[in-house]
Amino acid sequence: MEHRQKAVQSFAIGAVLAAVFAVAVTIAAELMPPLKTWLADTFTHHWIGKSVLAAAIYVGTSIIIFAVPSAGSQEQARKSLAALFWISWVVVAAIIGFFLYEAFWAY
Amino acid sequence: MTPALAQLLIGHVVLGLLGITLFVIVTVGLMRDLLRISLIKWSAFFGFVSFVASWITGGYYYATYYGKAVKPVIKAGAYPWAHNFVMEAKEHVFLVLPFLAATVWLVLWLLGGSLETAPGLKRAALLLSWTIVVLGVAITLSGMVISGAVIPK
Repeated sequence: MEHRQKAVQSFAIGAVLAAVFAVAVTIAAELMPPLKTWLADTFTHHWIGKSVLAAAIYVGTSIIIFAVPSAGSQEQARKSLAALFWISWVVVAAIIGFFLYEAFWAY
Repeated sequence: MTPALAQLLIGHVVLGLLGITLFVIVTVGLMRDLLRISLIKWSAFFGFVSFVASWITGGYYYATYYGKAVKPVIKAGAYPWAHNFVMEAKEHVFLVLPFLAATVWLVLWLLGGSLETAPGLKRAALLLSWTIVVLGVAITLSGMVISGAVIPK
């Protein structure tokens, strides 16, 4: 059971990192055109680049965290899922706030 | 638009709605005292698969057609904010959804049997499932706004 609790904890943290990456790269690419160009050139489209990299971060970091020796617990799994819940809403608010600003006030 | 792209766009919408519906089943299922683990586990799995399929079909349409043919029409029309704000926010908020769906599915798959005796864990999974449904509905409504703004001058 500890093994399974640790897997849940690992994938919840992986999802947190993927969500934070998604918002960070999105805002950075809007503010730094060379980054947006690099994403588009490397992955055919900047949004595909963000998608592929976020998915790679989710899978990669989850596996790495799972592989690090430590005991899993029900409480740790719960805390990781709660963190994912709150951070998801912060990420959503940041994306909405950023594009609201860009669309109506930036120019 | 070619018939193949039209079918991809329809597929994107239908798969997204299917994913939301399946996560409504998961959400309602997690609100019960007595969990029907098999039902919510498979609903979460197919919900996750639906979101990934919607991601791929919508992504192909967006990358190959929307930017060239639809975006300029919206931006030159009466509602340019439908792209500048609604589409930009929609396409990036969507990026969070598949990871939330995968995580909820994994919780149910790996710990489903023990959720009835772990109220904190069950509540956390329920909140994440709610989040998926709320974001999914918001994304669907955003898609309707964007479609409605495609009005050539």
